[in-house]
Amino acid sequence: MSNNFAPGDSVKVRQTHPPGHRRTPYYIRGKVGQIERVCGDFPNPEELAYGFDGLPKKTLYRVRFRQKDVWENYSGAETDTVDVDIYEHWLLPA
Amino acid sequence: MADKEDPRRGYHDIGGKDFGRIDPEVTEMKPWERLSTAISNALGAAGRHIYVTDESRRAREQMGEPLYSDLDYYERSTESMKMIFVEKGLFTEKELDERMKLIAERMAEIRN
Repeated sequence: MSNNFAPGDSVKVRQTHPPGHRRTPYYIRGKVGQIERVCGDFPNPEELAYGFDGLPKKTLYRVRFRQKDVWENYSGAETDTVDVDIYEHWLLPA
Repeated sequence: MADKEDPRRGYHDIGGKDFGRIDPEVTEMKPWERLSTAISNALGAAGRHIYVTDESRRAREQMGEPLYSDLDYYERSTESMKMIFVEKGLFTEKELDERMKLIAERMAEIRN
């Protein structure tokens, strides 16, 4: 499985709302962050949720977002971040 | 923070909604909660592999908001497990109801 993204790359989370079991939280959809690390390849939980084998595996990334980019009127420190584990099929180059 | 209601957002997907302060109190598991967790582990991915965590999560998202809101953590996990087993044909709702009735009767006899 080839990794389309490397640590430091900017990515945008897909702003989409398909029905079914989805692993990307609502609050992070459409936001831009940076790849913090490649976590590895795992069976796709969005398929496992329906009794399928989840293959081929999907690459999971840890993506780091600035809190002020995630929340409107964020009042914490400029440097505050939030890390979210997101599968590759939810990410676009940014 | 302001969260415009979006019907496409799942009722379980509450990250960032304002529910006030989190109560950090640690509570003891009740005996039935331990038993339910043990059954879940024995039949789940680490045991017989009859179902996986992702299926159980999907069931929580499928049981409907009224039931989901009504149940606590362990009730949700037990209900989810039941939904998946009925879906997979391990038993029917009717068989489960009959069995629960039988056990309730037996327990009543023991108490008397």
